[in-house]
Amino acid sequence: MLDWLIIFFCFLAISSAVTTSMSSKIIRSTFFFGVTLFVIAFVFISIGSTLLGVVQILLYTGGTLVLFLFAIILTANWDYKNLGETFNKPIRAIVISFIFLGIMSYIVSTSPLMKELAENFTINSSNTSKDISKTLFEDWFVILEVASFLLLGTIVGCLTLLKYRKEIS
Amino acid sequence: MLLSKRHILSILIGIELFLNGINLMFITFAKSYSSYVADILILFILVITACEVAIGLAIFILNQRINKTIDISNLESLKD
Repeated sequence: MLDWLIIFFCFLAISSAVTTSMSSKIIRSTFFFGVTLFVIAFVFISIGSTLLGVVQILLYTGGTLVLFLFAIILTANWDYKNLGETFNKPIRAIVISFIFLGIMSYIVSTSPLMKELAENFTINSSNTSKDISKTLFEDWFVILEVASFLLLGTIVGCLTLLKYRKEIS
Repeated sequence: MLLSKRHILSILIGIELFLNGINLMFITFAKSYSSYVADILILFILVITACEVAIGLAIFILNQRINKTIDISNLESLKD
C-alpha cells in the first residue's frame, strides 16, 4: 500500500512539475510549483524522512512561495499580456532536454549502482530527528557554519541590491 | 524552463525544480543504504536554494524597477 502511495505521489510530482514548465502564465506556474513542493514533501514523509518533509512544507514551500508571490505583487503593474510570447527558441530547448534525458536514461539503465539500488531498496524510518541533529552538530558542524554565513551573505547582498536601487532612483 | 523562457521568475522556478529533483535522488540513495547523510545534504541544499531565490528575486525586482522590463535580455545593463 505504501509503495503505491509513493508511486502516486511521484506521478503527481512529475505531472505538476511538467504543468509548471508548460504553463505560460506566471501565476499559474507558481501555483503548480507550490503543488510540486507539497507533493515532494509528502514523498519525503512517506519514505520515512518526516523531518525533511516538515522542513520542506514549513520553511521551503512557505518561504519560497511567499517570496515568489511578493515578487509578482511588487511587479504587478507590468503588462503581463505578452507573457505567453516569451518563449525563446523552444525547439532548441526541447531538443536539448530530450538529448539530456536520453543520456541520463542510458547512464542510469547501464549503471550497476542503480541495479544494486533497485534490488536493495528498503524504507527505513528509524532515523530520528535526534540522530540527524546530533550528526549535524558533531560531524557537519563546519558546513553548518558555512551555511549560516551563506545566509548572512544573502541578507547583506539583498540589502545592497535594494540600496543600489535607491541610489539609482 | 531554463532554456526556453525569458521571464526571470520562470527561470528561478526551473532552478528550483532542478534542485528538488536532486533532493529526491539523494533521498532515494539514502533510503537504499539506510543512511541519513542525505537528509543533512538536503537540508544544506534547502539553505542554498533559499539564498538563490532571495538573490534572484532581488535582481528581478531591481531589473523591473530600472529597466522597466521582466525580460532577462537586459540584465547586462545592471552592471553599469
